[in-house]
Amino acid sequence: MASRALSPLLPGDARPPLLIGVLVAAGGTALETLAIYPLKHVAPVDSLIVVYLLTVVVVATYWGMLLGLLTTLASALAFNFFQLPPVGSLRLADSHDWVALAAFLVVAVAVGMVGDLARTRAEEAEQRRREADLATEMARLLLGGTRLDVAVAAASQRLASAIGVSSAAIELHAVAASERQRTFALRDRETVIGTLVLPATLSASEQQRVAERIVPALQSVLAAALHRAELQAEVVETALLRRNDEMKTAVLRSVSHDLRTPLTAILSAAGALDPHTSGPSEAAEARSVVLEAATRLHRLVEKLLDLSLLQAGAPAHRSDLYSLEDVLHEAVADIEADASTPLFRLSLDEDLPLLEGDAGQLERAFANLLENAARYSAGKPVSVRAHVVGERLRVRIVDQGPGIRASELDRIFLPFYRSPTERPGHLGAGLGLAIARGFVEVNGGRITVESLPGQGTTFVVEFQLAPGAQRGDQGAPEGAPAPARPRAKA
Amino acid sequence: MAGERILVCDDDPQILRALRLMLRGAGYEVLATATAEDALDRAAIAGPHAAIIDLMLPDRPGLEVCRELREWSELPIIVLSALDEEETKIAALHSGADDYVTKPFAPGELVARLQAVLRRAGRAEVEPRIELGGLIVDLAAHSVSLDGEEIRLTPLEFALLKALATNRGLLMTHRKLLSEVWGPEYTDATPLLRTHIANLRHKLAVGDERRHFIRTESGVGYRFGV
Repeated sequence: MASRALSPLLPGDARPPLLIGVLVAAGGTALETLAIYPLKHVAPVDSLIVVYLLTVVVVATYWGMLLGLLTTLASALAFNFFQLPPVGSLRLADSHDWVALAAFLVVAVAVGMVGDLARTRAEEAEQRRREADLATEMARLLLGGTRLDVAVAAASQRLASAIGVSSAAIELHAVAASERQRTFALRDRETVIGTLVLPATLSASEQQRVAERIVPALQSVLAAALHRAELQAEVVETALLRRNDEMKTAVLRSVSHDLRTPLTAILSAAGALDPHTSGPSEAAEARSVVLEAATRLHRLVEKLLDLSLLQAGAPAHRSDLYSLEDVLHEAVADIEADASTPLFRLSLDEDLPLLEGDAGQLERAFANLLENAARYSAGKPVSVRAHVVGERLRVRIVDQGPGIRASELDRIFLPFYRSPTERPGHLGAGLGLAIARGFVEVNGGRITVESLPGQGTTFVVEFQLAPGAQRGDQGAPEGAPAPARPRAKA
Repeated sequence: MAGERILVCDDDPQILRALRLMLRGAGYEVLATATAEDALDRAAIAGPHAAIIDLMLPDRPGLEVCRELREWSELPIIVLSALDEEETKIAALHSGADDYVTKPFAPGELVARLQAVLRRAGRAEVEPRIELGGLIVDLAAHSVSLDGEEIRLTPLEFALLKALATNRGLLMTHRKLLSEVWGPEYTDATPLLRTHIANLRHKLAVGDERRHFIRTESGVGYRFGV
């Protein structure tokens, strides 16, 4: 019975206990019989039978017509026995009394029926109101949220408390009934779009009530919610496609710009050379322009090839022991070849352990990182440090450039990414960092970036060392050196 | 043409050096600049005869330089761009550029275009007779002949050919041709122009098929001459 209080939607028999009804009927009738004694002095006895109607109405309304009828009969008998002459007997002295008793019976039955009906109607109205409230809330929960799974979970929970069961679940697929659960299919026209799963403790009448009063509203709201989620997914997909398209156009434009610029310089310089009129100084100038532009073009083509290699999957990969020190020196020399002043300040631990991987690829990775750092450092030297920290070999490349906004940090490694704050077309093609990350990761390392806008950016490259890795100066070929094993090879 | 001063603005150092070599080789004096501000200053001080301006400059867009130059100068402007897109070309021409060259360009192409814009700028009188590869357009006699054979043109076709031929080597945009031949209210009637150009080409395609007198600048306009 206690659970009934929690289950306003499934009232079944919501009347107060019958025993109380019987006590109320008996007590009320007795009290009324007593009350009639003093009243007899001010009114004719026959008319006082109306006093009993009070108990009859109360009992019929709260405990139903049956008990109401019994109360009516008891009242009639009590009145006859205690009040109508001859008192103390059920006989009736006067025909008036017959009429009074008969009228009382008719009126009491009618009043009792009205009371009972009113109460039933009121209960039904309350029931409908709760159902309507529940339907509204289902709609709010299922249609209001941004994510359908979250909305369905919230709606299930609310449904469980409304029905008064320990658990309820709305599954977005068909579920078979079992000994432990009752299932109600939720349909959109003919298609099953989901299942309401309730505990098997539900009685037959409760099940019927769920099927008739809850399922229809729930399935139409669920259908609307599913439709809405579908539309939303389409909108998101369209936006993604459009962004993708825009990005492809931007990439094409930037690559075409970067390819055409050095080509133009080469064609123009070569075209300016006339074997008849050009003097040696013009020839020297043209030669230097052609060489510079061709080198630039060569670098770009190499980067594009590296990138397509990386994007096509893991590039062919040699695995040898190499010294990171050599790789860093090579990369620095490569970048500084074009510069008039030193760009980097190297500080490497003296006994860096050897690593295993493709030294050529790592040299390209570091050359790209260094080139990027030097470009943004605006002439101030870039610091390159390499240390062993615990089980890792860590390289830090610190520039004193303008820094990178936090919102861009996760995007700078994307191929062709260029900062929106950067003027177009005049710095790299946006490939260097993507290539660096690609080659570092293929060789078992990891790149992260930290930046303080206004102060500079630090790229950190880390390689996991094998436990007990030998120091580089001791790791001679003989003596079975234990090389640092990149994680990717583990 | 000797010693005409050409203002060149491109922030790419290799291109700037290459252009300087090329233009000097063709006999021009070169004012090389790398920024929009510098280009505008030099244009005002040094009084160049023509300008070659890259669309992507570090400080300001090249289109803005064109617009600003046009506010006070009739200086012929050729725009350079690494983007081969119609919208960019049209935007440049609307901003006051006289011609448009896409990178990379063939050696000699830029010089030829430069000569064409300079010729128009310095031209006092319309030549009464224009000759090109066997084609003679006699403006005074209103007659056209190809390899000595007279070609009959409708008055509209003649007006169109005249508009193109008197601007030999210059880019004539659709709008310009339409407004000049049909009138300013026809500036959007590109299909009309296409039809008449097609007819004109058909009539000029006698004899050597390889001679193309009217070149199409896709999406932008036409150019007379090779």
